[in-house]
Amino acid sequence: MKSKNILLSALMASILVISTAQAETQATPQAATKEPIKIGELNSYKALPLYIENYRKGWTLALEELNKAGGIHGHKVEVIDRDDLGKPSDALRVATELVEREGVVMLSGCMFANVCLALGDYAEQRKIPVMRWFGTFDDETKRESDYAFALLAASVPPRAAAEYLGGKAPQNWLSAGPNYAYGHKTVKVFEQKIKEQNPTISWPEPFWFPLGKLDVQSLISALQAKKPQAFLSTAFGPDAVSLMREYRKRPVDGLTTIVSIETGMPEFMNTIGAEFPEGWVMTGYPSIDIPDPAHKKFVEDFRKKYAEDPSWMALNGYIAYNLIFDALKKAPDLKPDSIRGALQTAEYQSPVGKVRMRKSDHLSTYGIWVGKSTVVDGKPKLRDWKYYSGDQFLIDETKVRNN
Amino acid sequence: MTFLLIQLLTGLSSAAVLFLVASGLSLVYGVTRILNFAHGSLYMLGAYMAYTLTQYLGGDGVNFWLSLVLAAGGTAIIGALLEILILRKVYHVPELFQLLATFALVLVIQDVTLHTWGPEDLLGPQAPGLDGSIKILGEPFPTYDLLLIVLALAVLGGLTWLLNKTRFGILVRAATEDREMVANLGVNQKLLFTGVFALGSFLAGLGGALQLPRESVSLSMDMSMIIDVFVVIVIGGLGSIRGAALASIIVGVVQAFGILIFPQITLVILFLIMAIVLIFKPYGLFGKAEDGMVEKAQLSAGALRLPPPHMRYVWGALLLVMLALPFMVGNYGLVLVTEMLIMALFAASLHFILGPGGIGVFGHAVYFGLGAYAVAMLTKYLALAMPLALVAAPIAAIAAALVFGWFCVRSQGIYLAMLTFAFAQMVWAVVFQWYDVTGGDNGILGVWPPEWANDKRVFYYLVLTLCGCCLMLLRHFIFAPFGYALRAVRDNAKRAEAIGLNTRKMQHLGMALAGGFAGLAGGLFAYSKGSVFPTTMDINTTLDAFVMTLLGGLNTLSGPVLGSVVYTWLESEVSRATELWRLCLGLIILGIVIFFPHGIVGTINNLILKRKGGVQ
Repeated sequence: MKSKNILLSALMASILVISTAQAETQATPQAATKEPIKIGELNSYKALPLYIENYRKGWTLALEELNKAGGIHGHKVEVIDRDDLGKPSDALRVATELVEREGVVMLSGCMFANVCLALGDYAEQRKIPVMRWFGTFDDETKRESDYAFALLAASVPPRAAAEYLGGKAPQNWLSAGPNYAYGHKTVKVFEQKIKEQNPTISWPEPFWFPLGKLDVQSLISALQAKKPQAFLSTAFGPDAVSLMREYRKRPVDGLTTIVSIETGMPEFMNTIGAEFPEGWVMTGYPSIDIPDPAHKKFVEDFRKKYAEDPSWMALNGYIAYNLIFDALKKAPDLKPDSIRGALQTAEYQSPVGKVRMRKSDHLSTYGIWVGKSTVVDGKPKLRDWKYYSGDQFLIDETKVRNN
Repeated sequence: MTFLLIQLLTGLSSAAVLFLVASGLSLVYGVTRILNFAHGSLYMLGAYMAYTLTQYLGGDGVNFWLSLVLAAGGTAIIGALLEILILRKVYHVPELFQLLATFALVLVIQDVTLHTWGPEDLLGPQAPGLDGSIKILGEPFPTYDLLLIVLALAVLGGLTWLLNKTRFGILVRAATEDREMVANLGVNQKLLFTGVFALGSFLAGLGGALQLPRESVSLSMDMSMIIDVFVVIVIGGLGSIRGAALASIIVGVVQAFGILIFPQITLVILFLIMAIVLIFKPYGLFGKAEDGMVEKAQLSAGALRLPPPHMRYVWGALLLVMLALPFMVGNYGLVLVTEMLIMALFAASLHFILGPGGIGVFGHAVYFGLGAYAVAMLTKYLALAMPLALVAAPIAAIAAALVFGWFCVRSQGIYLAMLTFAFAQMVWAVVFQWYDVTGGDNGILGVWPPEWANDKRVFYYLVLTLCGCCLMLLRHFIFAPFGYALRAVRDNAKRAEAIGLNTRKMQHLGMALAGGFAGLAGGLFAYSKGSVFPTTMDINTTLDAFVMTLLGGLNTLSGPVLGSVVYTWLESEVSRATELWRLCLGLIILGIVIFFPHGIVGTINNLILKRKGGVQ
C-alpha cells in the first residue's frame, strides 16, 4: 500500500519536473531578426494595487507610442508583466523566471524599497540590467549595484521638501515616521538637509509607529505636550489619512510649519478629498496644473487613452520606460552588458524636462514637485508648487566610487 | 498630569474598538470552539459596507447612524452564511485545520473585497455633530472617541444582560460550558451556532463600521485588527466576555503608553504581554482548562507503517532522476526544484512535530527564519565560510526551539498554538524593527554561496545531498524508539507517563529536533536566494508550510515532500497565470480541509485500502 503511494508520488514528481523542463525549452532566446524585444516587468500589483495599476497605465502608453512609431530598429517591444507579491523572496523567484525562462533582455519595476534592493543585488549577481522607478537609500558615495538603475533617488523628495522651506525653517521640530528602514532614512535625510541650513535646530528623537498602525491620538497628544513649531510626517496611505483627520479636531497651538512627504500625490489626494489640510508643505505632483506644453500633451494623450487625468505613478511609468527605450535604441546589440552601457548614458526629453541617467551612481536626474496643500471648490490641490530637478540634490558625480 | 489623563482616554478608546471586535470573536469561540481568523475580515467588510451605505443614504444626521447599524446587520448576514456554507463542515476536524480553513476565508474575502470595492483607500464621512473635540482639563479630546468608550460600555452591559437574562444567553453559556450536554438536551444546535456566529459577526461589523469616521477604509484592515484581537482574547481567556473586556483595556492602555516610552519596540510589546500572561496563566486571565480537549478530533490518527522492502527500488529510481536532473532541465527549472527540495525539508520538519509529535504549533517559520538569519548574519558580519554557517543555522534554531519549547510544552491545544504564535511574532518583530543589526524589512543582501558552489548545478547537488540526508534522518527518528515514544505521548499522554516516559521532555526534544531541521532548511534558503528578509519568518511562511504539509497528508511520510513539490509548482504557475492567486490559494485550502483532510497521499492511500477491502 505504502509502496504504491510512494511510487505515485515519485511519478507525479517526475511529471512536474519534466513539465517544468519542457516549458523552458519552449522559451525562445532572443536571437532571430524581427523577433520582439522582451522586457520583464515585475511589480506589486496585489500589495499596492492603486499605485502599480497607475504605473502600468503610464508605461503601457509609452509602449504603445513606441510600437506605433516602429519599435526599436524594426523590432516591436513586448513587456512581460508579473506580480512580485510585494515580497523580496517572491520577487527573486519571479525575476529568475523572467530571465531564465522568458528570455527577457532586461528587467524593470518594483515598488517597495526592500524589493528594489533585493532586485539590485540579483541584477549584480546575474549580470542583467534592471531599471527601477525608485532608488534606495544606500551609501551615496558608492554605486549600489553595477547593473541596477533607478529613476527617482529616494533622497530627493525629503531634500527637496527641506529646500522648499528655504532658510525659514523654525527652530523646534518634532517628527514622526513609520518604523522601518525607509521611514527612518527619509526622516534622517530631511533632518540632515534642514540642519545644513541651520545647525542649531532642535530635533528630538522621532515618534516611530508601526507601518499602517499609526496611533494618531497618541501622536497628537505628544505634539500637544511638546508644542513644537514645526512637524515632519513621513506617514502615507491610511496612516496619513488618520493623521489629517484627527489633527483637524485637535490642532496644536503655535505649530506653524507641517511638512508631509508624498501626500501631495493625486493618488493620495483623491482619497482624502475635501478634508485635505490647508498650508502643509508636501512633495507631490500638480498633474493637470502644470502649464508646460510638453506636459499638456502628455495629459491629453493620457486622457484620450484612459479618460482620466494622469496620476504621479503613471508619469513615473511613462518616463522610466522612455528612458529604457532610449537605451535600447542606442545599444549596439541586446547583450546585457551593451544594454547596461547604453542605460548609463540614456536621456529622455520628458514631459517635465530633460531626464538623464547619471553614469556614476545609476540614478536619474528626475525630480519632484513641492508645494502647499489647499482645497479649491472642495477638491484637494497643491498651490505655490515648484519642480526640483534631482540634479541639485544628488551628490557630485565625481565623488561616487564605482565599486 | 493632564497629558497622562488624555493618554489614558486614548488608550481606552482603542480598547473600546478592540473590545467590540474581540467580544464577538470570543463568543463565537466559546460556542463553536473555532478561533476564527476571518473575524478581522468581517470587521473590514463592516467598514466597507458602512462606507457604501453612507455614500448611498448620505452621511448626515440619522442616516449616518442608520448606515452603521445596517452595515453591522449586513455583516451578521454574511457571517451567518459563512457559518452555514463553510464552517459547519469543519466543526469536526482538528483545530489546526479549522484555523487554516478560517485563514482561507481571509484570503478569499480579501480578493472578493478588492474586486468589489477596488484598490483605493476609501474615506467615509465624519460622524455628524461629533467631528470636533471637547476640552478635558483644558486639553482637547475628540468627542467621537469618548462616544466609542461609552458605546463599548453599553455593548458590554448589553452582552452581560443577554448572556444572563435571556434564554438564548443561557443556551450560549451552556454550550460554552459543555457542548455535548446541550446537544443531548435537545437544543437545536445548528440554529444556536448560526445565531451566535451572526451575533459575533454583528459585533465585528459594528466595530468596523464605527472606524469609518476615524480612518480610511482599506484592504489592510483585516490583518492589522485580527492579530491584536487574537492577543486580546487569548490574554482574556478564550470564550470569556469579562476577559475580553479586561484584556482590551490592558492592551489598549499599554500600547498607548508604550508608544511614548518605547516607540522602537511597539510591535514586540503586544506579544510580550501575551507570552507573559500565558506563562503564568496558561488559559488566559479568565479562561478555564478545557476538558473539551478530549472530544476534539485528534490532529493525527492511525499508526505509521514501515514501507515494504521493495520501496527502496522506487526511491532509488527517483534518486537517479534527481541526479540526472541538471542535465535535463534549464536554469529556471533547476532553481524551482532546488526551492522544492528546501521546502520539502521545511515541511517535513513541520510534519514531524504536527504528525508524529502531535503538537499543534503555529509559528514554525520562526525556526526557518532564524536559520536563514544565522547564515546571513554570520556571512555578513564574520564572513564565515558556508559549511560553518550551515552548521550554525540548525544550532541557532535548536537553541530557540529549546527556549520556546520549554514554555510551550506546559500549555496545550489552542493556547499552545497561540503561545508558539506569540514567540514567532516576537522574534519577527525584533528582526523587523532592529534594523541596525538585521537590516529591518530591507533584510540582509549578498548572501550568495562561495564561488565553488555558486553554479546552479553545484548548489542543486549540495541541496539535494543535504535535504535528502535530512529527510532520511527524520524518517529514522520517526521509526526509532524516540519516534514511537513521541507517538505514545501524542496518543495517550497519561498511559505514556504511566510506563515511565517523561512526556514533557519527549515533546520538548521533539520541538527542538523539528526546529533544527527547519533551521537548516532556512539556511539553505538564504543561500539559494542570496538574501534574507523578515518575511522568511512571518505568518505567511508558517501558513505556506502548513498548506504543504496538509496538502500531502499528515499520516504519511511522503506527504510533506509531495505537498511541497505540488505547492511550490502551483504557486509558481498560478501566480503567473492569474492575479487571483490568493483566491485560488484560499479555495485550495478550503478544499483540502473540507474534502481531503487526509491530503493527496492520504486520500490515495485510503482509495487503495478501500479497493482492497482493508480496514483503515
